[in-house]
Amino acid sequence: MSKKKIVLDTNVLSWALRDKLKESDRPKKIKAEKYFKHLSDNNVSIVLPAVVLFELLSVYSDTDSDQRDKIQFMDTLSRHCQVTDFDDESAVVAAEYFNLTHSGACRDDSAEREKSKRKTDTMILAQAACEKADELITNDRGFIKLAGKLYEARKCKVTVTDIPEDPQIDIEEFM
Amino acid sequence: MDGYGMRFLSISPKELSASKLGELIKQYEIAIRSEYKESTGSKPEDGGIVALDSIEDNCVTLRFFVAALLVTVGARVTRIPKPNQCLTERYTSASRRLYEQIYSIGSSYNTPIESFRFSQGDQSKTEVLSVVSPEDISQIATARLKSIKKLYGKVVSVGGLDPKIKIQLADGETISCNATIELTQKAAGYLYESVKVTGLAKTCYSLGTSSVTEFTIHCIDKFEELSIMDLFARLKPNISDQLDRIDDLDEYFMDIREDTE
Repeated sequence: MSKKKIVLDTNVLSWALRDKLKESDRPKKIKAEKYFKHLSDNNVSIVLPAVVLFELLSVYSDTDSDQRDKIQFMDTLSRHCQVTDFDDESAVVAAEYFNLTHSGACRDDSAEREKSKRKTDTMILAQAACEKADELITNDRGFIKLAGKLYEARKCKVTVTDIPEDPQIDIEEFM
Repeated sequence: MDGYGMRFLSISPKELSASKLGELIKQYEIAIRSEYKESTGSKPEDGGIVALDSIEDNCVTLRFFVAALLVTVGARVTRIPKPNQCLTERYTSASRRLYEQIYSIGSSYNTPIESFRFSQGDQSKTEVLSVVSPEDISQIATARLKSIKKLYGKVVSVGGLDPKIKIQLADGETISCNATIELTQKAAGYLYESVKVTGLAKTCYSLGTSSVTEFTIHCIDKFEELSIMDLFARLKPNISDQLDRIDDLDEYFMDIREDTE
Protein backbone atom coordinates (compact mmCIF):
# COMPACT_ATOMS: atom_id res chain seq x y z
CA MET A 1 0.00 0.00 0.00
CA SER A 2 1.38 3.41 -0.95
CA LYS A 3 2.05 5.94 1.77
CA LYS A 4 -0.18 8.94 2.13
CA LYS A 5 1.54 12.11 0.86
CA ILE A 6 1.13 15.32 2.82
CA VAL A 7 2.32 18.74 1.69
CA LEU A 8 2.98 21.34 4.38
CA ASP A 9 2.58 25.05 3.72
CA THR A 10 5.20 27.50 4.98
CA ASN A 11 3.12 28.78 7.88
CA VAL A 12 2.61 25.27 9.25
CA LEU A 13 6.25 24.31 8.82
CA SER A 14 7.48 27.44 10.52
CA TRP A 15 5.34 26.66 13.55
CA ALA A 16 6.83 23.21 13.68
CA LEU A 17 10.42 24.40 13.46
CA ARG A 18 10.50 27.34 15.86
CA ASP A 19 11.20 27.12 19.57
CA LYS A 20 10.27 30.53 20.98
CA LEU A 21 6.69 30.84 22.01
CA LYS A 22 4.50 33.62 23.24
CA GLU A 23 1.94 32.54 25.77
CA SER A 24 -0.83 33.26 23.26
CA ASP A 25 0.83 30.95 20.71
CA ARG A 26 0.90 27.94 23.01
CA PRO A 27 -2.47 26.40 22.03
CA LYS A 28 -1.54 26.69 18.35
CA LYS A 29 1.83 25.03 18.91
CA ILE A 30 0.32 22.23 21.00
CA LYS A 31 -2.28 21.58 18.33
CA ALA A 32 0.40 21.48 15.62
CA GLU A 33 2.66 19.14 17.60
CA LYS A 34 -0.20 16.79 18.34
CA TYR A 35 -0.97 16.66 14.65
CA PHE A 36 2.64 16.06 13.62
CA LYS A 37 2.92 13.26 16.16
CA HIS A 38 -0.23 11.78 14.64
CA LEU A 39 1.27 12.00 11.13
CA SER A 40 4.49 10.45 12.37
CA ASP A 41 2.62 7.53 13.93
CA ASN A 42 0.77 6.97 10.66
CA ASN A 43 3.93 6.86 8.58
CA VAL A 44 3.05 9.47 5.97
CA SER A 45 5.44 11.01 3.44
CA ILE A 46 6.08 14.71 3.76
CA VAL A 47 6.51 16.70 0.57
CA LEU A 48 7.97 20.18 0.44
CA PRO A 49 7.23 22.28 -2.67
CA ALA A 50 10.13 24.44 -3.88
CA VAL A 51 7.94 27.55 -3.50
CA VAL A 52 7.47 26.76 0.21
CA LEU A 53 11.20 26.16 0.51
CA PHE A 54 11.89 29.58 -1.02
CA GLU A 55 9.67 31.28 1.56
CA LEU A 56 11.23 29.33 4.41
CA LEU A 57 14.77 30.14 3.30
CA SER A 58 13.96 33.85 3.33
CA VAL A 59 14.43 33.82 7.12
CA TYR A 60 18.19 33.48 6.77
CA SER A 61 20.28 36.65 6.79
CA ASP A 62 23.58 37.00 4.90
CA THR A 63 25.75 36.57 8.01
CA ASP A 64 28.27 33.71 7.97
CA SER A 65 26.53 31.79 10.72
CA ASP A 66 23.14 32.06 9.00
CA GLN A 67 24.65 30.95 5.70
CA ARG A 68 26.27 27.94 7.41
CA ASP A 69 22.95 27.04 9.02
CA LYS A 70 21.18 27.38 5.69
CA ILE A 71 23.57 24.95 3.98
CA GLN A 72 23.17 22.45 6.82
CA PHE A 73 19.41 22.84 6.66
CA MET A 74 19.38 22.25 2.88
CA ASP A 75 21.66 19.25 3.20
CA THR A 76 19.44 17.57 5.80
CA LEU A 77 16.35 18.37 3.81
CA SER A 78 17.67 16.99 0.52
CA ARG A 79 18.74 13.73 2.14
CA HIS A 80 15.62 13.08 4.17
CA CYS A 81 12.62 14.89 2.69
CA GLN A 82 10.99 15.01 -0.73
CA VAL A 83 11.40 18.45 -2.24
CA THR A 84 9.45 18.99 -5.45
CA ASP A 85 10.69 21.37 -8.11
CA PHE A 86 8.54 23.95 -9.82
CA ASP A 87 9.05 22.48 -13.29
CA ASP A 88 7.28 22.66 -16.64
CA GLU A 89 4.56 20.26 -15.50
CA SER A 90 3.84 22.36 -12.39
CA ALA A 91 3.84 25.50 -14.54
CA VAL A 92 1.18 24.07 -16.85
CA VAL A 93 -1.04 23.06 -13.92
CA ALA A 94 -0.45 26.30 -11.97
CA ALA A 95 -1.40 28.40 -14.98
CA GLU A 96 -4.62 26.42 -15.36
CA TYR A 97 -5.49 26.84 -11.65
CA PHE A 98 -4.63 30.54 -11.76
CA ASN A 99 -6.85 31.20 -14.76
CA LEU A 100 -9.72 29.21 -13.27
CA THR A 101 -9.56 31.14 -10.00
CA HIS A 102 -8.81 34.48 -11.64
CA SER A 103 -11.50 34.68 -14.28
CA GLY A 104 -12.71 31.15 -14.93
CA ALA A 105 -15.20 28.71 -13.48
CA CYS A 106 -13.66 28.80 -9.98
CA ARG A 107 -13.35 32.58 -9.82
CA ASP A 108 -12.31 33.87 -6.44
CA ASP A 109 -13.41 37.29 -5.28
CA SER A 110 -10.40 39.51 -5.96
CA ALA A 111 -11.28 41.68 -2.98
CA GLU A 112 -10.76 38.63 -0.77
CA ARG A 113 -7.63 37.25 -2.33
CA GLU A 114 -4.99 39.43 -3.90
CA LYS A 115 -3.52 38.37 -7.21
CA SER A 116 -0.02 37.78 -5.82
CA LYS A 117 -1.39 35.53 -3.07
CA ARG A 118 -3.45 33.65 -5.61
CA LYS A 119 -0.36 33.21 -7.74
CA THR A 120 1.59 31.68 -4.87
CA ASP A 121 -1.38 29.54 -3.79
CA THR A 122 -1.81 28.09 -7.26
CA MET A 123 1.93 27.46 -7.66
CA ILE A 124 2.09 25.51 -4.38
CA LEU A 125 -1.14 23.68 -5.14
CA ALA A 126 0.11 22.74 -8.61
CA GLN A 127 3.29 21.30 -7.17
CA ALA A 128 1.22 19.27 -4.71
CA ALA A 129 -1.05 18.04 -7.51
CA CYS A 130 1.85 17.07 -9.79
CA GLU A 131 3.36 15.13 -6.91
CA LYS A 132 -0.03 13.37 -6.50
CA ALA A 133 -0.21 14.50 -2.89
CA ASP A 134 -3.31 13.59 -0.90
CA GLU A 135 -3.47 16.61 1.37
CA LEU A 136 -2.01 20.06 1.80
CA ILE A 137 -2.01 21.54 5.28
CA THR A 138 -2.11 25.31 5.71
CA ASN A 139 -3.54 27.71 8.24
CA ASP A 140 -4.28 30.27 5.52
CA ARG A 141 -8.08 30.40 5.24
CA GLY A 142 -7.98 32.21 1.90
CA PHE A 143 -5.84 29.44 0.43
CA ILE A 144 -8.21 26.78 1.80
CA LYS A 145 -11.19 28.55 0.24
CA LEU A 146 -9.53 28.97 -3.15
CA ALA A 147 -8.40 25.34 -3.26
CA GLY A 148 -11.85 24.23 -2.15
CA LYS A 149 -13.38 25.78 -5.27
CA LEU A 150 -10.94 23.92 -7.50
CA TYR A 151 -11.62 20.71 -5.61
CA GLU A 152 -15.40 21.07 -5.87
CA ALA A 153 -15.11 21.69 -9.60
CA ARG A 154 -13.00 18.49 -9.82
CA LYS A 155 -10.09 20.45 -11.22
CA CYS A 156 -7.77 19.52 -8.38
CA LYS A 157 -7.69 16.36 -6.29
CA VAL A 158 -5.61 17.64 -3.40
CA THR A 159 -7.57 18.34 -0.22
CA VAL A 160 -6.42 21.59 1.38
CA THR A 161 -7.21 21.92 5.07
CA ASP A 162 -6.10 23.49 8.30
CA ILE A 163 -4.52 21.41 11.05
CA PRO A 164 -7.46 19.46 12.45
CA GLU A 165 -8.62 20.48 15.93
CA ASP A 166 -8.34 16.91 17.10
CA PRO A 167 -6.24 14.61 14.91
CA GLN A 168 -8.02 11.61 16.41
CA ILE A 169 -11.15 12.66 14.52
CA ASP A 170 -9.47 12.00 11.20
CA ILE A 171 -7.64 8.89 12.27
CA GLU A 172 -9.79 6.59 10.15
CA GLU A 173 -8.41 8.26 7.03
CA PHE A 174 -5.10 6.63 7.71
CA MET A 175 -6.40 3.15 8.44
CA MET B 1 -24.48 -9.61 -16.34
CA ASP B 2 -23.15 -7.15 -18.89
CA GLY B 3 -19.94 -7.38 -20.79
CA TYR B 4 -18.16 -4.59 -22.57
CA GLY B 5 -15.88 -4.46 -25.54
CA MET B 6 -14.06 -2.35 -28.05
CA ARG B 7 -13.39 -2.88 -31.70
CA PHE B 8 -10.80 -1.34 -34.02
CA LEU B 9 -12.80 -1.25 -37.18
CA SER B 10 -10.20 -1.09 -39.94
CA ILE B 11 -6.96 -2.21 -38.39
CA SER B 12 -4.72 -4.79 -39.94
CA PRO B 13 -4.14 -7.39 -37.20
CA LYS B 14 -0.53 -7.96 -38.13
CA GLU B 15 0.31 -4.37 -37.31
CA LEU B 16 -0.84 -4.32 -33.66
CA SER B 17 1.93 -5.55 -31.35
CA ALA B 18 1.18 -7.90 -28.48
CA SER B 19 2.71 -5.50 -25.98
CA LYS B 20 0.47 -2.63 -27.13
CA LEU B 21 -2.58 -4.85 -26.84
CA GLY B 22 -1.41 -6.07 -23.42
CA GLU B 23 -0.95 -2.52 -22.15
CA LEU B 24 -4.42 -1.59 -23.37
CA ILE B 25 -6.08 -4.54 -21.63
CA LYS B 26 -4.23 -3.77 -18.40
CA GLN B 27 -5.08 -0.06 -18.54
CA TYR B 28 -8.77 -0.85 -19.07
CA GLU B 29 -8.85 -2.69 -15.74
CA ILE B 30 -6.86 0.07 -13.99
CA ALA B 31 -9.24 2.72 -15.35
CA ILE B 32 -12.37 0.91 -14.14
CA ARG B 33 -10.88 0.30 -10.70
CA SER B 34 -9.77 3.93 -10.39
CA GLU B 35 -13.18 5.28 -11.43
CA TYR B 36 -14.81 2.97 -8.89
CA LYS B 37 -12.51 4.25 -6.17
CA GLU B 38 -13.16 7.84 -7.27
CA SER B 39 -16.94 7.42 -7.08
CA THR B 40 -17.20 5.31 -3.93
CA GLY B 41 -14.10 6.32 -2.00
CA SER B 42 -12.95 2.72 -1.62
CA LYS B 43 -11.22 0.06 -3.67
CA PRO B 44 -13.37 -2.68 -5.22
CA GLU B 45 -13.68 -5.80 -3.10
CA ASP B 46 -11.96 -9.06 -4.08
CA GLY B 47 -14.95 -10.09 -6.21
CA GLY B 48 -14.82 -6.87 -8.21
CA ILE B 49 -12.86 -8.18 -11.13
CA VAL B 50 -12.40 -7.02 -14.68
CA ALA B 51 -11.42 -9.98 -16.85
CA LEU B 52 -10.61 -10.42 -20.50
CA ASP B 53 -13.48 -12.41 -21.97
CA SER B 54 -12.10 -12.91 -25.48
CA ILE B 55 -9.88 -11.54 -28.20
CA GLU B 56 -11.60 -12.00 -31.52
CA ASP B 57 -11.30 -11.28 -35.22
CA ASN B 58 -7.50 -11.40 -35.25
CA CYS B 59 -7.15 -9.04 -32.29
CA VAL B 60 -9.41 -6.26 -33.55
CA THR B 61 -12.19 -6.96 -31.04
CA LEU B 62 -11.67 -7.16 -27.29
CA ARG B 63 -14.43 -8.33 -24.99
CA PHE B 64 -14.31 -7.93 -21.22
CA PHE B 65 -16.22 -9.51 -18.39
CA VAL B 66 -16.98 -6.92 -15.73
CA ALA B 67 -18.22 -8.02 -12.29
CA ALA B 68 -21.66 -6.81 -11.20
CA LEU B 69 -20.10 -4.45 -8.67
CA LEU B 70 -18.31 -2.58 -11.45
CA VAL B 71 -20.95 -2.63 -14.18
CA THR B 72 -22.01 1.02 -13.85
CA VAL B 73 -18.45 2.28 -13.81
CA GLY B 74 -17.59 -0.14 -16.62
CA ALA B 75 -20.27 1.36 -18.84
CA ARG B 76 -18.98 4.86 -18.19
CA VAL B 77 -15.35 3.99 -18.90
CA THR B 78 -16.19 1.94 -22.00
CA ARG B 79 -18.18 4.79 -23.52
CA ILE B 80 -15.03 6.28 -25.06
CA PRO B 81 -15.36 10.07 -25.18
CA LYS B 82 -14.34 12.08 -28.21
CA PRO B 83 -10.98 13.77 -27.61
CA ASN B 84 -12.39 17.29 -27.73
CA GLN B 85 -14.59 16.70 -24.69
CA CYS B 86 -13.40 18.00 -21.32
CA LEU B 87 -11.69 14.93 -19.95
CA THR B 88 -9.82 16.41 -17.01
CA GLU B 89 -12.80 17.06 -14.77
CA ARG B 90 -14.80 14.03 -15.88
CA TYR B 91 -12.30 11.20 -15.62
CA THR B 92 -9.47 10.00 -13.42
CA SER B 93 -5.92 10.17 -14.74
CA ALA B 94 -6.01 6.37 -15.21
CA SER B 95 -9.02 6.67 -17.54
CA ARG B 96 -7.41 9.53 -19.42
CA ARG B 97 -4.35 7.36 -19.91
CA LEU B 98 -6.58 4.55 -21.29
CA TYR B 99 -8.19 6.96 -23.75
CA GLU B 100 -4.78 8.25 -24.78
CA GLN B 101 -3.73 4.68 -25.58
CA ILE B 102 -6.93 4.10 -27.54
CA TYR B 103 -6.55 7.37 -29.45
CA SER B 104 -2.91 6.55 -30.11
CA ILE B 105 -3.85 3.21 -31.70
CA GLY B 106 -6.61 4.92 -33.65
CA SER B 107 -4.19 7.54 -34.92
CA SER B 108 -1.28 5.17 -35.68
CA TYR B 109 -3.44 2.72 -37.60
CA ASN B 110 -5.97 5.21 -38.96
CA THR B 111 -8.90 3.24 -37.62
CA PRO B 112 -12.26 4.20 -36.12
CA ILE B 113 -12.81 2.73 -32.66
CA GLU B 114 -16.17 1.46 -31.55
CA SER B 115 -17.09 0.49 -28.02
CA PHE B 116 -20.06 -1.70 -27.22
CA ARG B 117 -22.04 -3.53 -24.57
CA PHE B 118 -23.01 -7.17 -24.98
CA SER B 119 -25.13 -9.63 -23.10
CA GLN B 120 -23.27 -12.48 -21.42
CA GLY B 121 -26.16 -14.76 -22.39
CA ASP B 122 -26.03 -13.98 -26.10
CA GLN B 123 -22.75 -12.43 -27.14
CA SER B 124 -23.97 -11.79 -30.68
CA LYS B 125 -26.32 -9.12 -29.34
CA THR B 126 -24.39 -5.88 -28.98
CA GLU B 127 -25.28 -2.27 -28.36
CA VAL B 128 -22.85 0.36 -29.64
CA LEU B 129 -21.85 2.80 -26.89
CA SER B 130 -19.50 5.11 -28.77
CA VAL B 131 -17.57 5.59 -31.99
CA VAL B 132 -14.43 7.67 -32.28
CA SER B 133 -13.17 8.38 -35.80
CA PRO B 134 -9.62 9.15 -37.00
CA GLU B 135 -10.89 12.67 -37.76
CA ASP B 136 -11.88 13.10 -34.10
CA ILE B 137 -8.45 11.93 -33.02
CA SER B 138 -6.60 14.21 -35.44
CA GLN B 139 -7.92 17.19 -33.46
CA ILE B 140 -5.92 16.29 -30.36
CA ALA B 141 -3.19 18.78 -29.56
CA THR B 142 -0.10 17.37 -27.92
CA ALA B 143 3.13 18.93 -26.75
CA ARG B 144 6.37 17.21 -25.88
CA LEU B 145 8.74 18.94 -23.49
CA LYS B 146 12.18 18.08 -22.16
CA SER B 147 13.19 19.13 -18.68
CA ILE B 148 15.28 18.09 -15.72
CA LYS B 149 13.14 16.30 -13.13
CA LYS B 150 13.59 14.61 -9.79
CA LEU B 151 11.94 11.30 -8.94
CA TYR B 152 11.64 9.56 -5.59
CA GLY B 153 11.02 5.85 -5.56
CA LYS B 154 12.37 2.37 -5.15
CA VAL B 155 14.81 0.56 -7.47
CA VAL B 156 12.95 -2.59 -8.53
CA SER B 157 15.00 -3.83 -11.47
CA VAL B 158 18.43 -3.13 -12.92
CA GLY B 159 20.26 -4.15 -16.09
CA GLY B 160 19.24 -5.94 -19.24
CA LEU B 161 20.75 -5.83 -22.71
CA ASP B 162 20.73 -2.03 -22.51
CA PRO B 163 21.51 -0.39 -19.18
CA LYS B 164 18.07 0.26 -17.67
CA ILE B 165 16.94 1.10 -14.16
CA LYS B 166 13.32 0.55 -13.19
CA ILE B 167 12.03 2.88 -10.49
CA GLN B 168 8.74 2.25 -8.73
CA LEU B 169 7.15 5.53 -7.64
CA ALA B 170 5.08 5.97 -4.48
CA ASP B 171 1.78 5.55 -6.37
CA GLY B 172 2.89 2.15 -7.67
CA GLU B 173 3.69 3.32 -11.20
CA THR B 174 6.99 1.96 -12.56
CA ILE B 175 9.23 3.99 -14.86
CA SER B 176 11.91 2.31 -16.93
CA CYS B 177 14.80 4.76 -17.11
CA ASN B 178 17.83 4.94 -19.37
CA ALA B 179 21.21 5.25 -17.67
CA THR B 180 24.93 4.79 -18.24
CA ILE B 181 26.52 1.45 -17.37
CA GLU B 182 28.26 3.10 -14.40
CA LEU B 183 24.98 4.48 -13.00
CA THR B 184 23.22 1.16 -13.61
CA GLN B 185 25.94 -0.62 -11.66
CA LYS B 186 25.58 1.96 -8.88
CA ALA B 187 21.80 1.44 -8.91
CA ALA B 188 22.33 -2.32 -8.51
CA GLY B 189 23.68 -1.52 -5.04
CA TYR B 190 20.37 0.16 -4.20
CA LEU B 191 18.11 -2.67 -5.40
CA TYR B 192 14.81 -2.59 -3.43
CA GLU B 193 15.94 0.54 -1.60
CA SER B 194 14.57 4.07 -1.77
CA VAL B 195 16.42 6.45 -4.04
CA LYS B 196 16.31 9.97 -5.36
CA VAL B 197 17.08 10.27 -9.06
CA THR B 198 17.61 13.35 -11.16
CA GLY B 199 17.54 13.26 -14.93
CA LEU B 200 16.20 14.45 -18.23
CA ALA B 201 12.50 13.72 -18.66
CA LYS B 202 10.58 13.82 -21.89
CA THR B 203 7.01 14.65 -20.99
CA CYS B 204 4.01 14.45 -23.27
CA TYR B 205 1.11 16.84 -22.58
CA SER B 206 -2.23 15.97 -24.07
CA LEU B 207 -5.91 16.14 -23.11
CA GLY B 208 -5.23 17.86 -19.82
CA THR B 209 -2.88 15.16 -18.66
CA SER B 210 0.84 14.62 -18.79
CA SER B 211 3.01 11.55 -18.80
CA VAL B 212 6.74 10.96 -18.75
CA THR B 213 7.54 9.06 -21.93
CA GLU B 214 11.30 8.79 -21.42
CA PHE B 215 13.62 9.41 -18.48
CA THR B 216 17.42 9.43 -18.64
CA ILE B 217 19.05 9.30 -15.23
CA HIS B 218 21.93 11.71 -14.59
CA CYS B 219 22.32 11.11 -10.88
CA ILE B 220 21.09 8.49 -8.41
CA ASP B 221 21.43 8.61 -4.63
CA LYS B 222 20.09 6.66 -1.72
CA PHE B 223 17.15 8.42 -0.09
CA GLU B 224 16.43 7.83 3.55
CA GLU B 225 13.03 9.31 4.30
CA LEU B 226 12.54 10.24 7.94
CA SER B 227 9.33 10.33 9.92
CA ILE B 228 8.01 13.84 10.33
CA MET B 229 9.05 14.09 13.99
CA ASP B 230 12.59 12.86 13.25
CA LEU B 231 12.83 15.19 10.27
CA PHE B 232 11.83 18.21 12.34
CA ALA B 233 14.25 17.22 15.10
CA ARG B 234 17.11 17.15 12.56
CA LEU B 235 16.09 20.40 10.84
CA LYS B 236 15.41 22.50 13.95
CA PRO B 237 19.02 23.15 15.07
CA ASN B 238 19.69 24.95 11.79
CA ILE B 239 16.58 27.11 11.52
CA SER B 240 14.89 27.60 14.90
CA ASP B 241 17.11 30.59 15.83
CA GLN B 242 16.25 32.31 12.56
CA LEU B 243 12.53 31.67 13.04
CA ASP B 244 12.68 32.79 16.67
CA ARG B 245 13.99 36.20 15.53
CA ILE B 246 10.64 36.82 13.83
CA ASP B 247 7.99 38.17 16.14
CA ASP B 248 4.87 37.19 14.21
CA LEU B 249 5.53 34.26 11.89
CA ASP B 250 2.09 34.16 10.31
CA GLU B 251 2.28 37.84 9.43
CA TYR B 252 5.84 37.49 8.12
CA PHE B 253 4.97 34.73 5.66
CA MET B 254 1.65 36.31 4.73
CA ASP B 255 3.55 39.50 3.91
CA ILE B 256 5.83 37.65 1.46
CA ARG B 257 2.77 36.62 -0.57
CA GLU B 258 1.08 40.01 -0.57
CA ASP B 259 1.02 42.62 -3.31
CA THR B 260 3.57 45.37 -2.84
CA GLU B 261 1.48 48.31 -4.06
